[in-house]
Amino acid sequence: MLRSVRAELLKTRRRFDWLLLALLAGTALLLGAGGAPDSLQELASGYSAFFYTLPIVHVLVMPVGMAALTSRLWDAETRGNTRKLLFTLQSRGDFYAAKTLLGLFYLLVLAGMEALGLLAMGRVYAFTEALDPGRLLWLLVCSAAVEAVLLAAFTLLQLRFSSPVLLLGVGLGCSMGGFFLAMLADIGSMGAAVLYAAPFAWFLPLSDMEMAWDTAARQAVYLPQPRRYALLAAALGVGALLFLWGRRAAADREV
Amino acid sequence: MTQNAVETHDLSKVYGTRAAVQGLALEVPFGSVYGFIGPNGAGKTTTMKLLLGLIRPTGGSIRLLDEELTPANRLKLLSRTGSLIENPGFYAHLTGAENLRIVAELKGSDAADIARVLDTVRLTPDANRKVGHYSLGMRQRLGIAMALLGWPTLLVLDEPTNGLDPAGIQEMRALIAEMPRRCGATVLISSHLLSELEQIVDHVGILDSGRLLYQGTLAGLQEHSRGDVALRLLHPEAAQAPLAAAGLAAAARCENGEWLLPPLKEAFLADLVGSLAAAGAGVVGVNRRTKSLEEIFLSLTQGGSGTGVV
Repeated sequence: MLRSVRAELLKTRRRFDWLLLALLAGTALLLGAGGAPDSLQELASGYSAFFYTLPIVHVLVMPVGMAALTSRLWDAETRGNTRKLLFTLQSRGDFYAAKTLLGLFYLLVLAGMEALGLLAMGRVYAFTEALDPGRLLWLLVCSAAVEAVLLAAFTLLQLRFSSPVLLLGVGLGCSMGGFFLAMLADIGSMGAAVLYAAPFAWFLPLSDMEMAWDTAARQAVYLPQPRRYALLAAALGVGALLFLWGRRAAADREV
Repeated sequence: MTQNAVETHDLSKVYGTRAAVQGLALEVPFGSVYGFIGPNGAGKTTTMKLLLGLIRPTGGSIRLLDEELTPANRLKLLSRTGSLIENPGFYAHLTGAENLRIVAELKGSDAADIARVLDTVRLTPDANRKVGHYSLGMRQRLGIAMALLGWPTLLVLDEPTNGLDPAGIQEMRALIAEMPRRCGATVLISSHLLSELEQIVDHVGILDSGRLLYQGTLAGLQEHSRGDVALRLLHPEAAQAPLAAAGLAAAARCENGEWLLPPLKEAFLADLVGSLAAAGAGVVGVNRRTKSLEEIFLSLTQGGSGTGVV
């Protein structure tokens, strides 16, 4: 297994996967910020605003981002004859597990980039609100869990169809669909219920920050929400199930 | 211990209703260069994939390097095997040496082994170029280099000369022919380029529609398929009587000034030549035509049309 992991690391050389991660983190933060804060009230709720907007932005960005990441991780092996050689050298289970480990490592790097970017933006804009580390951790863990579900699902698709175009198409569809569901959820309770049926949009129900509009003061008010631990556990469970399914698919597939 | 590096017993693989390989009993002796010949779609690649455990057999068994191949010992056995199946796949963003490092990591080979195989396939000067910039011939050689890592006892090469130009084919042929001497490896090589294999193999298996039509030494095959006898005569008209007396009047035919006779035993041929000389036919040449592997193959597979056969 260790050899398989080391082989995966060797393959990352000059693949510049980190550029994709930086692009995803940067896009999420820039869209989440929505421009420089221009009032004392916005500076006083700078981090809370991010905790509210980032899950929404993740719904839009991450499905297509995870499709692209899956493609980078798997493309060389699912499209060419590389597996015919690799499967004479390593077990299919080890091969799949090593790739999954690398993918999870990338999700940690992505979370780290977002955290650092968030802190940097707080410094640059001089937020007056103190950062709540627990809330940041919750955001990062929940995001990574949903991203892991997406990564595992897209890996299954890639193993089955070996088509990066299809993968990106489905990723784009999930991004658009998730964003539409987010709008629907904002309108009424039925929409919120639909969100639970769409794991690619679970960034939203896992968010622990809500926003209300204070019409008198004409400003946004951010309200902490109870955390949905059961949904986080469900995300981890779905991710694990998809991993096992993918492992089986990789092991059964004749090359 | 058997004498064979590869043995299969009643091996078969069925896809849906189509049998790609049927009842195959392959015997590849240790230290041999075994040519696996057949037209496109004969089942060569399927057989090689079965030997490497890349696909599961529908029936039968496989012995590799004196051990029964099972899911449990597959990787252990394959660690002593090098393979090149179809066009090799590479990581185009990495250099040749970096691609080899990945395989070396998985095989547990060291840097010295990488240098050795690069030298063997004459890629050392290009080792640090990206594989994306390699020519087809260089890619094929890199594929062979990957197969050679870890000093394999058995090499399984599926059409390694595919897509190469004549110079590349010649280079690859020389490379493969010297494998048993350089590495002590048994080589199982498939091709539909029959003339290519004829020059490097010592054993042959001829496959058609998933069935083995012939298996044995190349010399045995050629002996088994002894060719016509061609007689060059100064006075062909004087040959009629001796040929009729030998019972060959109907079978003999004259082409381009030569009398062509069906395959004959040595003693019978000697007597015939004596009679012809006595009759004043003026025998100036006796030539036993050895069939090329290609002719033998076509006659065995009844493939006069020879689709896909070069």
